[in-house]
Amino acid sequence: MAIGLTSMQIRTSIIAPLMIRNVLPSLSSTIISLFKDTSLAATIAVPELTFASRKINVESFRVIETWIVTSALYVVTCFLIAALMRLVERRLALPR
Amino acid sequence: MSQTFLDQLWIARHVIVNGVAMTVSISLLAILAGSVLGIFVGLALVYGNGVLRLIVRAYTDVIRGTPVLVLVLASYYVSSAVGIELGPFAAGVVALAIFCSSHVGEIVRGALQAIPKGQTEAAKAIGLTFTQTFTSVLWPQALRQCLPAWVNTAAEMVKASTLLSVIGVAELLLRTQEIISRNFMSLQFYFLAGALYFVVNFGIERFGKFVERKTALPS
Repeated sequence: MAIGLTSMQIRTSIIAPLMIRNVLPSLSSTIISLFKDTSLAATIAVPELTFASRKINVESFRVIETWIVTSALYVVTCFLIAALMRLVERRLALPR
Repeated sequence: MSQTFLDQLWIARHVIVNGVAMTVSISLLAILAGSVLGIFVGLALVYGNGVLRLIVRAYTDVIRGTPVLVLVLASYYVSSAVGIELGPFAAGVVALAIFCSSHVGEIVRGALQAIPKGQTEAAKAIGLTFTQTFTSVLWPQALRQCLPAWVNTAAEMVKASTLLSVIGVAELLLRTQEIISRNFMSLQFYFLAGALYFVVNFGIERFGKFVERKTALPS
């Protein structure tokens, strides 16, 4: 305000950048749990990863392999999301 | 057949009570087993030697990176594939307990690491052994620290118990679905189920607050 910014300018160029840096860590954990919750869609017959693995499980009876691969896929994707979010965090961090 | 909601509710009363009882017992078993296991996981993460810590870290990361539904399905199918006859109830409780243990482990680790180093040093300075330091200095502080997060996990477990309906455990959600498939009052009965889950979780939260107040340090 002292340097003559309007209230809209204050929001977009002062508050918002600060806020994004603050929320990033909890935002990434929310995104990861949201990704894990996509498996719940299998219960109402959305053909996603868990649904497909269930189908493979019942059709092939390769039970152990199926579930190891499924959880590995979920874990690896979670790690990728986490790594991506860490990268974003580092890019947006203030230089020190 | 009468068609009002209250009549249907009266017909279904035993089924709903059974469902709530099943949900509560699944959650209790999973929380208890998961917490006991989780404390060991947390201790291994903080005090374990290199190899043990590496193994436990991999365990928690993999479990936390896998959806609960996948854990439940895997526990159910894999246990029967390797020849252990668990049945849906036991398999589901095992899956939830494993999930709970990795979360409690992280909570315990965080709580133990949040204690300032000066506490351990002071305990050493007055000549306590490691066991004494742990049981009478670190552990009481860690317990207070992890109580809120632990209550959160307990509520999470109640909600995760709904996933056991997928493998055919007759808990509240599956019971509700059965009732709805009989009388088609989906809005009313799903709403009722939601309200019941809310009541259970609200009770857990109040209980947690109560324990927190009881164990708080006098200030």
